[in-house]
Amino acid sequence: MEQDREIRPATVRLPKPPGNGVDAGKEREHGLRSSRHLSSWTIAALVVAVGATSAALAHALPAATSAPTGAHAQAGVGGTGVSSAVNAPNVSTPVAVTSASGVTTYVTPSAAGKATVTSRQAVATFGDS
Amino acid sequence: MTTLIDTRLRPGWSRVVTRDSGVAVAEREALGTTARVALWPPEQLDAALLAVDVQIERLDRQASRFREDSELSRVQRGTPGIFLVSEGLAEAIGVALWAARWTDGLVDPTVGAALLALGYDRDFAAIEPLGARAPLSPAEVPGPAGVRLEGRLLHLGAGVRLDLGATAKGLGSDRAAKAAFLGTARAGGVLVSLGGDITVAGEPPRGGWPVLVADDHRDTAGPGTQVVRLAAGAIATSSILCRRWERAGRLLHHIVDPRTGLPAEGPWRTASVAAASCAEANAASTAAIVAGIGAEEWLATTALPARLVGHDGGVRLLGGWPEEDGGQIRLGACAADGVSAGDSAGAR
Repeated sequence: MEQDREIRPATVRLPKPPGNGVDAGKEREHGLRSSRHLSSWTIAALVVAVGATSAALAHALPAATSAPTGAHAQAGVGGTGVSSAVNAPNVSTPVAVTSASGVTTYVTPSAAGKATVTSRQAVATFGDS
Repeated sequence: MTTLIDTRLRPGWSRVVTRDSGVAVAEREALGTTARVALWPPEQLDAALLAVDVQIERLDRQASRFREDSELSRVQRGTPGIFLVSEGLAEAIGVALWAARWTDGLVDPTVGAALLALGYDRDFAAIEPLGARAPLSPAEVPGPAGVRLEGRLLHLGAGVRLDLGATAKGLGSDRAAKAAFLGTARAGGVLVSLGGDITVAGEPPRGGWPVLVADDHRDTAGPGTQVVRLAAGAIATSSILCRRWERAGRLLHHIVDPRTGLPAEGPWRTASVAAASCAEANAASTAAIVAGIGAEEWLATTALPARLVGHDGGVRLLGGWPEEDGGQIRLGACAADGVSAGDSAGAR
């Protein structure tokens, strides 16, 4: 028996809070109110932060990431389709040729100002089959 | 020759001399044809070439019919069934299936077997000496119903052999232009041409990128040529004037009419089309050749600017294609149902 008493965990009543207990209730209520206040401010701050981040990202991301190769992407990839850049160069002679697909072409600016093209037939991986 | 070997460029690329110092132009052989890049400001050239190189190699590894180790070749070597393919190949097949729907079957990625039957079963350079006296026995084109794509899962039916020629090069040009633009500081603009399938990105030069439209590559000074300016989007040309070979005494070319399994016949020898993407332009120009007498009617439904050249050399301009030399290509507000490099791998 002696042994049993010794190994049984002791149950100790906690001391009563000072005062009549009404103050403790007030304290608890005040704590909860503080927490609610804090939560409201945290949520408000989070909303503002997320909004600001989204706006910043929307401006920072290149247009090309949202411009597919679709027909409605009229401005092309990442561009406006209009030479609005003040430093855009003037290009007078053709820089490329569209001809029978798969034919290797070379553009040569001629003295007359118009391009001339030499070409050779090549082994094209992708024809227009 | 206008190209100069420039040791400062990436290997394989040669600088092309132009009169305009505000742009840099370089080219290299790729995909059995020529890849060309033009951009401004010129200082960004190397970054753009690197990005284009990556895209070209990727496309070749994914979708080449002539490369034994390409993903497409490996898929087609197996028995029909279901394959898990890469995102890139799924995209390329998805775009081809989209093009088949958009053109009501005028272009069809399942013409592979028909091309083989016609003798286009090897690199073009090797065809001619072998097949002139061989019999001509066209193969039936099974149609896109034999191909189903669900995400990256490709279902290939029996007898289906894919050839992505009508869209893959255009798609490659779109990918390369986008990558080149993003590879630079996104300042200025870039033009990428893969064998004449051209896409532009970013800000164009003033008035747009000048592009020479040539009907017959052997006759570039005649009335068949025109300079147009491309400020946005893409342009592609299909023609029956190149890559011809002979079978059973008949002159064949590489644009197959899926309805017959034979080379397309019609009044037009060359079709150039501008669109928002080169995959669309590529598909539309091929479709116009295949459509034959119905080409004008079909192109009218797309509202895309187009230039058709008849067998007699007569030129027909459609969809607001500029009449004057140096005129700017203007794409309509909603030229066609869009095809996206991103959404193509889904429900096609």
